[in-house]
Amino acid sequence: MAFAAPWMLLGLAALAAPIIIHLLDRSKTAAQDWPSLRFLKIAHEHSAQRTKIKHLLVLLCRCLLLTLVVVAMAQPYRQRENWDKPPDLPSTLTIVLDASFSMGCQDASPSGANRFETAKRIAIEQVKALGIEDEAALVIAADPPVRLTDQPTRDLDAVCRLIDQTSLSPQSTDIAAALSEAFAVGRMDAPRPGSGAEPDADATALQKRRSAWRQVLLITDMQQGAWQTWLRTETAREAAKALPVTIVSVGASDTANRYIRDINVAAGGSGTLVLDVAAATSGVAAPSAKAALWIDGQAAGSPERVASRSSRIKLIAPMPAPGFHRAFVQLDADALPIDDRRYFCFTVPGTHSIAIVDGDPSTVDRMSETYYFRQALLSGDVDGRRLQVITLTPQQLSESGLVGINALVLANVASLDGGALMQVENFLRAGGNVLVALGDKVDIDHYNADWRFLPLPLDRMLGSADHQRNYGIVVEQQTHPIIAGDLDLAAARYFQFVGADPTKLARGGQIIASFTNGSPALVESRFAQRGLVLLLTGSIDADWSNLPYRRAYVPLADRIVRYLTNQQIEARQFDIGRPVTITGPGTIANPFINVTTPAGLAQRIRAERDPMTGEFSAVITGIDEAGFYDVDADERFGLDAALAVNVDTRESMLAPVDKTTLRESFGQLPMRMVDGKSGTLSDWRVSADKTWGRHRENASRWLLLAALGAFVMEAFVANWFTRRNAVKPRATTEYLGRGAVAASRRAG
Amino acid sequence: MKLDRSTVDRYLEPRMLAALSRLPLTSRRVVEGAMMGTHRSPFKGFSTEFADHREYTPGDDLKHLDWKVFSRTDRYYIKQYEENTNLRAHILLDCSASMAFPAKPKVGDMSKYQYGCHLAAGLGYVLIAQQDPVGLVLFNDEIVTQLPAMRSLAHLRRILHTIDQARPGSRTNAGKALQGVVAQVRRRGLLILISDLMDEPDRIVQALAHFRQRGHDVIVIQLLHQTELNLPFEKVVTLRDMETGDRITIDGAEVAAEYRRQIDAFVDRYKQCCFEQGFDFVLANTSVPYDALLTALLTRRQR
Repeated sequence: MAFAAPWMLLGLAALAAPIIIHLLDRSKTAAQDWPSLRFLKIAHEHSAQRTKIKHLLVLLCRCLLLTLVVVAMAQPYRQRENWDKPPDLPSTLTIVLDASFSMGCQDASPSGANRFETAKRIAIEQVKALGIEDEAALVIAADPPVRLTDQPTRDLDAVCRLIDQTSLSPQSTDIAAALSEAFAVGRMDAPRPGSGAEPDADATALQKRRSAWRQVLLITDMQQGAWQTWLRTETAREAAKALPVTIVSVGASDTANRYIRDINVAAGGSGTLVLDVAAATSGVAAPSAKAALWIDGQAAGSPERVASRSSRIKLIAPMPAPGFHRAFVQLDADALPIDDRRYFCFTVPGTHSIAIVDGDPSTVDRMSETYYFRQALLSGDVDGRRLQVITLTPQQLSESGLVGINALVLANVASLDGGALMQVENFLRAGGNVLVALGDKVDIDHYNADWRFLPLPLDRMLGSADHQRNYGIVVEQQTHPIIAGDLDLAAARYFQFVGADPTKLARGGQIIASFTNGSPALVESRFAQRGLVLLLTGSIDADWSNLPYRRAYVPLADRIVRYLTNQQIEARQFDIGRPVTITGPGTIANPFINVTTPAGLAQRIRAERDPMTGEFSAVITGIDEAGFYDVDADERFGLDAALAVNVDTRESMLAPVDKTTLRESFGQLPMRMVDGKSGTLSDWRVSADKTWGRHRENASRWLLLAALGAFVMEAFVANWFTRRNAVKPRATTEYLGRGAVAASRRAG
Repeated sequence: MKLDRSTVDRYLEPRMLAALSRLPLTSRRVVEGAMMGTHRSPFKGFSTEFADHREYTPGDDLKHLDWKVFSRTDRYYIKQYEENTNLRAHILLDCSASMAFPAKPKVGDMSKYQYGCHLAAGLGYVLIAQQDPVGLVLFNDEIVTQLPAMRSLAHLRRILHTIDQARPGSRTNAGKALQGVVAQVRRRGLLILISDLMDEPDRIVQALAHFRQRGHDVIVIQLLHQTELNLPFEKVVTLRDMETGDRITIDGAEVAAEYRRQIDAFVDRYKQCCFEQGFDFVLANTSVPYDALLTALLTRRQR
């Protein structure tokens, strides 16, 4: 609602007049003599309430009357959308075709066509319905949007062919960007006849725009992910050159889609590979399905059943041989098959060595401090080839040199001489990692004084040897590689440990787990900014705890060692459409990188040397397919043999955008939404031939009529109270003798 | 007493006198008169109309002996006749402040007091013309002036002078004043009450009941102005009570209906009371010519 003469609204100040009149004390008028006020007082009391109501109603009527008159004089009008096409104007129709992979969804329709095929059919029908004077343009809503016609064209057959040749994109889309592109194209005109196939840009800019009615026809499945930018920003719809938009919905709101959102890979105990798969379902609940793991082209492990709703499942397979592997998880096919497969790559580490210094050795192996820890490591290494464990005494440590050792474990070591401590510190400075586990042999004062690499100073021994008290373990860093996942430490109990003050933690250190009394249980920090030191304030054997008897002990020991030896397994995957930047040292002799797409197209990329750093760098672009991209490059670039590329699962959520929100987001920009189903298609096609226009609908005359009504109402209210109480005036004279009274009584 | 000619002419217009000259004012009840007249007396005498027999006692006039009864019963009985006597009337005229309404009458209009004076003058003339003594009582919250009942034309002039000199004032307390009248007028006669009766109806009704107990015949003439009856105001107006000085601001159109209902109930209360006491009641609208009202009153009294 807007006003043609808004300054007339100042007349609303006149509303004060009836209010002031209403509030005026009218008792100050000149008084007239009256014989007796006794009856007037009674009558006044009787009518006081009614009089108040009457005066209030009259005041309201007068205020309404004034308001209506003033507003009518301000000439209010409403901009009304009118899709009636001016009969003498040609059309310029810009078609925006949503090609995101959600358009590949096959809804339950009689034709059996998916959304994209339906959209193409509708687009072609609309182009064919255009007249000889009309022009058409085509924009594909992908990421980024693509203009298939640089400007509108009168060659409608060519536009139809382009639509027919358009294929579905494996990417998501951004409707906001596509509409901005469409607005830009839609305001252009086709080259004038005789100007040549490649018109001069300057000449085109100078030529007068033809008078045509222009609109954008967006054919989409209304998938909400595509509208996120549009709903968040106002750039496109606030553009001064925006055009009217007709949105044709070709998606069904009740279609279910199951997809894999994410995958985490970790080594399980006993030589297994464990996959944590996050499966999601959008729309209505989907029927149950199975998820299967494929490694290097072969099925691995057993398929697992996926619940109808979003859930996490575990896939367990035998640990593959050390080396690089390509894998994917496959769901049973549904309405949208493109997101049913999730690709990833991972590397199984090779052989690594660990040295364990046993501070409490025994001739009876089971009695030694490191027995359980060693057994746990050996049980995880089923083939016995990936892990070499060397057991040392504290005295042997200074002589060993720790050559070829990836990690060092100091278990219940009472003390180390200067040479051994120097050996450990040098090991850490060289990038080696150390686990320090305590026990009853530990000399706390020696540790605090000489073991400078400890994350925090030790306090005193807590708990009791007779198991009278026990302490649970509280995880502080849920995402730490040692603790993450389903490691069950709930049943683990410590009866003794060495207490420490958590506030005295070294800079950069972190507490991974604590005992239930708040004392740190597992702490890590770096020494000399290189080597990692893990401190377990309890023991790793069964003297102080029941942890070795718990099922979490074997995977915990395995994870600690893998963490210390930097031999973790992780799933590596890339998002589609995102370029991959790689760098390598300047000493690389062959700077070329060969990339082969899943479709088999080879690409040769040359890494360029950065003059500032001297390093090689390159960007791999064109990653627009889901699957494995083979990579052939110098290993110093840090690239795997393949890149696993997956679709953007935000597009997998088929839930449509809320139409009310969408309509509000267009604001003043004219838009309409049309259902693309067959039942409404014919009506829409008729209306699609029309155009949008802006007409003023003046409301003044209606307001004046309403003001007249208010006037009548005011008169009615003012007189109704009086009329309804009208009483016939009394006779001028009455004579009443005895006979007359008797007669009147008889008559009564 | 000086009474100029114009005063007599003002109250006794020839037109009115001509209309009233043929209409007597009689009492509907027996009255106690001092002289022979046209009105029935409670005293039995020897007039023309037979009333009863009584046993002869020595000293009775033998001409009234009923010989027919003697022949049948052999006992002496004297025939008694109803005595006709003159009518002793008192005109009770209200001169309270409310009777001065309207204070400034328009041309052709008059205040209630002026109207009441004309009625009193006319009735006094009729009574004196038929040789009945008439008295005057002016009252507001008490008896202001009282003239004894006499039947001379000079007395009529005195009455006219008295009502002409009086000015309405003070508050109405008709009940109290009428109680005083009850004490003053002891012989049964005719009382003509001319007032707007703007007092508590209960007190006035009580006074009328006392009149009834004393055997008086009463004619109640309630004077109300046309404006007072119909409250013709259409807009907001401020009114001042002529007796108390109180003020009230009203919307005439709003309160008119309820006001009329109230004043109708007020009038009806007196009407009912008069019926129960056997009195005549006249509601006199001052817009009606007083001679027409008197003519109608006297004509109806004849039926």
